[in-house]
Amino acid sequence: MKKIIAAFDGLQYATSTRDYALDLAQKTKTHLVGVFMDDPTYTSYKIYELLEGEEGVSASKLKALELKDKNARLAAAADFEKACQHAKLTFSIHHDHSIALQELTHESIYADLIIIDAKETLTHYREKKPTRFIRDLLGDAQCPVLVVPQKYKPINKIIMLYDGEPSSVYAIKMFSYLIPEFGLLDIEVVTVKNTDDSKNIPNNKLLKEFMKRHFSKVTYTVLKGYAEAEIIKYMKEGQENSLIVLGSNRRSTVSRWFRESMADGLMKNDVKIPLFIAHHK
Amino acid sequence: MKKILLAFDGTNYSEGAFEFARRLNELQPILLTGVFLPLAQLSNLWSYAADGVGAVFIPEVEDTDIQIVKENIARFEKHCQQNGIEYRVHKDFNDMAMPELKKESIYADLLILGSEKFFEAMGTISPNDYLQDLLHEVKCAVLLVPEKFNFPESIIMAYDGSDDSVFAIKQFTYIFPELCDKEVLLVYAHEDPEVDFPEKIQIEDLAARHFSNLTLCKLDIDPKTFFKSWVLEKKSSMLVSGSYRRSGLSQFFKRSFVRDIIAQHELPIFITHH
Repeated sequence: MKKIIAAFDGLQYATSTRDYALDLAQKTKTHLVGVFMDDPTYTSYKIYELLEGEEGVSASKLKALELKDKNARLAAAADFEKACQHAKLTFSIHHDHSIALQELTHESIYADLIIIDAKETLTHYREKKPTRFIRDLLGDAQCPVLVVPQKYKPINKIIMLYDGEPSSVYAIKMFSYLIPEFGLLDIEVVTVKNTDDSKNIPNNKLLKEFMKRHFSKVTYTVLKGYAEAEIIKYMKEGQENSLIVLGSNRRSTVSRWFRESMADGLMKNDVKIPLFIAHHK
Repeated sequence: MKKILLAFDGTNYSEGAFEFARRLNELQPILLTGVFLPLAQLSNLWSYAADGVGAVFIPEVEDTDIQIVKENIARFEKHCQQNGIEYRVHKDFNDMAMPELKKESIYADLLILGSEKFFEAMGTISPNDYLQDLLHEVKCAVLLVPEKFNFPESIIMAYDGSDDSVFAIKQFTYIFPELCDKEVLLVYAHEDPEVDFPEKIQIEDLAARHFSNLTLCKLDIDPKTFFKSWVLEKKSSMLVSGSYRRSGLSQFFKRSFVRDIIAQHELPIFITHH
């Protein structure tokens, strides 16, 4: 049995994380851990809202707002608990009362998979996707991360992005180890080549030899053009019920300025499909 | 079903490594890919000594060696057929041994090596430079098997609180789900009896999900000096370790304890790094 983390911001409870987590946990008979990132530095209210006239911060108002946040967080955890009980899952709930990113990275060492909503910011500001929190998490997480869209859709097809790099095969391996149940679905391996290159998949024979051992129904698609643009276009055309498996190099912040990772690109362009991202050094 | 690589260098054939693969196949069918790396003498100097610190001893060319490789391939094929193992043979390599094995390892779940036999000719110190380089380079988990061993009845997991050690434990459970019901001993060693497991709740929480027969064991010994002797007393077990990722320099200062255990050729060792 495995241990899957569903990571929540109790103040902006993501029901899609819950739904995907329940779905996966039921299919794989997994122990589910609801991690509620109750980061004390993050509140639903802004400091300015507390200022009142001459006397500065109003103690009573602060207390009321704190209570409101506390109740919201408790209600979120209660909803998750109820959903798990209803689905008859084994589960536990962790409340992490420290800086959210560090806590979640730490939890990730001792977990097989993290499920999180792509919109999580852990701030009360609005941010464009990929949010800073998600980007940092993807850089630091010690287990694969499933980044899910805001709306739950059942998964009936798996798309694997393959570019011949070790990291892309690593992601495929991790996916097959963690969710072997999905190996029975239709699998499509997508490779993008430059327009003038041949249509051959890199290391074709080795890849197929590996894939055949782990998955039963595999098809191979080769697209031509600029990788990021082609893949984003491809994912937006009738692939709503898919899940994308992709690897990602743990790139330093500086190199990300120059070239974004594929995962960043997919989130930025609002591809509403869950992304299974595994990191490889 | 898993795809497992079994690497042989030129003239050496490891019975131990094959035996382990055979036992795994009994538990769950595997695809066994025999990788026959080029003979040392067919490759040029820089494929082994490129890093400047590697072995510089390259054996003389001998015609008989080529015949031995052919015999080894035939032997591998015969063994597989006898034991009903699905197999492939990869031998069409150019003379760059390491890059080829690295590429093969990307597309495999596990690499099995005979720790005594592998590139035996390349040095007398065990593990030799070549094996050490390889452990750093490959892209899948590695299982080092001595020539004589008992198939593991219990698993020893070396845990030191590091990300790497937990990574190794997780990888083990993914690659060997069929071994997860064996007796598992999760060991943390620290000479101070007051010091308990780092992150005890979390690691127990994780390990208990995967292993039904789990024991946590804190040894009040100094891991650097005594852990080796403790592990080597455990016959019929297998060691899981994540600590083989170190730069050349740091390895120079602090020898990895795994290295000492490999040198003893007693236990199968599962090594992985990320």
